[in-house]
Amino acid sequence: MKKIVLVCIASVSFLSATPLGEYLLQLSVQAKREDPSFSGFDAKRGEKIFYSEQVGKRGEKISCASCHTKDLTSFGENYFTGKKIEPLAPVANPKRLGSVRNMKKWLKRNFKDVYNKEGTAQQKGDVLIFISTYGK
Amino acid sequence: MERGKYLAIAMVAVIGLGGSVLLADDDAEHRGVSLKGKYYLIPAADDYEHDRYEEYEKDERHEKRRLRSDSGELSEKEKKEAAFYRKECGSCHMAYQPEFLPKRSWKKMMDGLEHHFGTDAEMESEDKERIKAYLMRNAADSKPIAEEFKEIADGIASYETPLRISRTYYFRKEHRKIPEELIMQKEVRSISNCNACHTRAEEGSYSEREIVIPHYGHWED
Repeated sequence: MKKIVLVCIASVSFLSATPLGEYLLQLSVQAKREDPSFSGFDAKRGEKIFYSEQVGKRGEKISCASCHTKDLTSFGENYFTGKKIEPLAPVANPKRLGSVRNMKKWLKRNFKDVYNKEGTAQQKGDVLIFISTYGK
Repeated sequence: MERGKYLAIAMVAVIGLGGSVLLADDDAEHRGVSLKGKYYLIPAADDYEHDRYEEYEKDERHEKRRLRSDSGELSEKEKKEAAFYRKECGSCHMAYQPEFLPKRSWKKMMDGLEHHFGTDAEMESEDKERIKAYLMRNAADSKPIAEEFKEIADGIASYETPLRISRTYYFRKEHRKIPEELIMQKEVRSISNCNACHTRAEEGSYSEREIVIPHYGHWED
């Protein structure tokens, strides 16, 4: 167990004191439990998850970018209601990824909206790494 | 503070004189009728005396002030709850005033957040309970309401539990003449985007003179 945690901390060490680091740590523990061959999170995989179009909960083909746009540093718009969404990338909007509670809530909701199921810990972590390193 | 406006107009004339009530005007129509959005409860004609009527008027004014000061002095806690509601429900759409729907509607809404108009809006149960309680305290049937809120509430039958404000009778009646293209244009997109045309919708004010429809202008029915 100790070893797993150490591996995880190493993979997110530069972030571990932040809410993002804390959540990634939780996710990595969970990911290791779900898949013993887990070897960390990857922004490239996260990027693919983010931009892949799926038939979502409403039966329409959407991706995360349908609301957040292709450029994560720009304002988005709720695909269904039109409500403005602040930029997702922390590089453009430092308030992002600032609370574990919010990250949990939105990842769960939005995975279900786009993918019709809650993502795995691996997938959530990948997406978070992608968002957090976007534009850096 | 803004809520005070429509609350102030809500008049509950609780008068402990006799059971029967009639509209005051001599050319009165029928009981408890709504006049210009205000609700009058006036004593029966045979009880009617001028000075007594003035007392009622005074009572009414007093009631108005009381309501205004009640809402004007929302406790710090209630302000916090209102802000929490607006933040949580307002991230995806306008946070519709709780006064639009009765308690049973909000209960049904909050119990079905996983499938919220085709979207997952689930939240931590602790947060959900907080919002539910706020909605229950402020629903159409939880306090005196006036103007549009009252009109909408009056149009909801007791056997109905509407989830869409836009499907209620009064709402449809008031919006029936708006051309489809004005609703579908990208600045509006949906009839549920109140604030696209009602410039003070977020503050709970929906009066006609505040309507500005994009690419059209002021709207008069």
